[in-house]
Amino acid sequence: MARNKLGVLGSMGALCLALSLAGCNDFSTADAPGQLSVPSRDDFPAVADAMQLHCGTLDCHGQSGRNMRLYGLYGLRLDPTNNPLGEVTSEAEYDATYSSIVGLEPEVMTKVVQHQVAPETLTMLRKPLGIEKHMGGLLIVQDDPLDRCMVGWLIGKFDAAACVAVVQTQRPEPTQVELDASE
Amino acid sequence: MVRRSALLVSGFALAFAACGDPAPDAAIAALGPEDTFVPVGPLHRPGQPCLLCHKEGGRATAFSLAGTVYVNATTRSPLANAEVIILDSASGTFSASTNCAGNFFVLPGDYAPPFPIWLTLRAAGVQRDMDTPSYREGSCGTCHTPTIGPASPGPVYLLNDPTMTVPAANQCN
Repeated sequence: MARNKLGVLGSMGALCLALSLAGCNDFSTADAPGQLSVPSRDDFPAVADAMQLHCGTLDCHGQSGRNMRLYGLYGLRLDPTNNPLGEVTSEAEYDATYSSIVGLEPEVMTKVVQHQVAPETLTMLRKPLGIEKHMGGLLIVQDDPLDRCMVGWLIGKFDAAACVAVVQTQRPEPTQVELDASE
Repeated sequence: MVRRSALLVSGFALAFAACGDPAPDAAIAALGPEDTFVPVGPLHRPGQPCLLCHKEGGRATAFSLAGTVYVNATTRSPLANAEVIILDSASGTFSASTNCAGNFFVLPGDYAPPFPIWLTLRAAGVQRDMDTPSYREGSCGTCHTPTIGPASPGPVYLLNDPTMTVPAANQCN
């Protein structure tokens, strides 16, 4: 009888162990609150400006229903009296976008900031890089200015010039030949 | 046994037939009824997000892009005969024209652009470029709602200067 009881207890213990292992991830070093790391808030406005036209348009992450939610000029506004073509991006909007981004995958971001895993581990890079399915398609090519801007910020090697280069990219214009051909 | 199977099959068929997509269904319902003075067709529902219904598997003929263009930001005068030029991510271009309701639409068989796309309006010697690309949305009206607000720049229009005019559109007679 005692033997049977031990057997049952043993099986239950093994089951519990298996279940808890199945539920484990490898973020144990960053699990406890207070141990999370985030990239620089000071450098963030340049990164947000670079992301705005590529990620934050009203048909993509400039929507209130999105987990990764970008606020600012040409996109969703935080101030209900403002509009997408109104005032330049405010500090409150940079704050809100920053909170949205660093709050998406805090444990993974901690590991990225602490150089324990590659930046591409983050969903916010996997999707635009085409590593994971993305409704908005392929938006970043590795080592292009937007990639350097975002990755540099994440790993503490902020590349201001790359961020500025993204913002200064000219809107493509159809040539006259193309326009004539389309008529 | 055969009767039971038939009942089961009918049950499944009915269940699937009753299934819609609740979010788009609610969005379509929110658009309200048709204008009784405008027949269903190219002139109907100006300013609304066309691809809610006009999509693959939708309630009406599928469009790849569609929208409505107005003369300026303040009036609701439709801009007829405007050229809507689309430049896509593969450097392809396509041009569509607005009708007397200001509506334009592009059929997927004519042009299905790879996104993102950049749009330009041209009419009466004026050209206006959209400030941002569209990455996935084929309906202008999804973002360009009738009223300006934190999530919309308002309707699509050509003229920034309200004192400027363009030749009046015929009134869809």
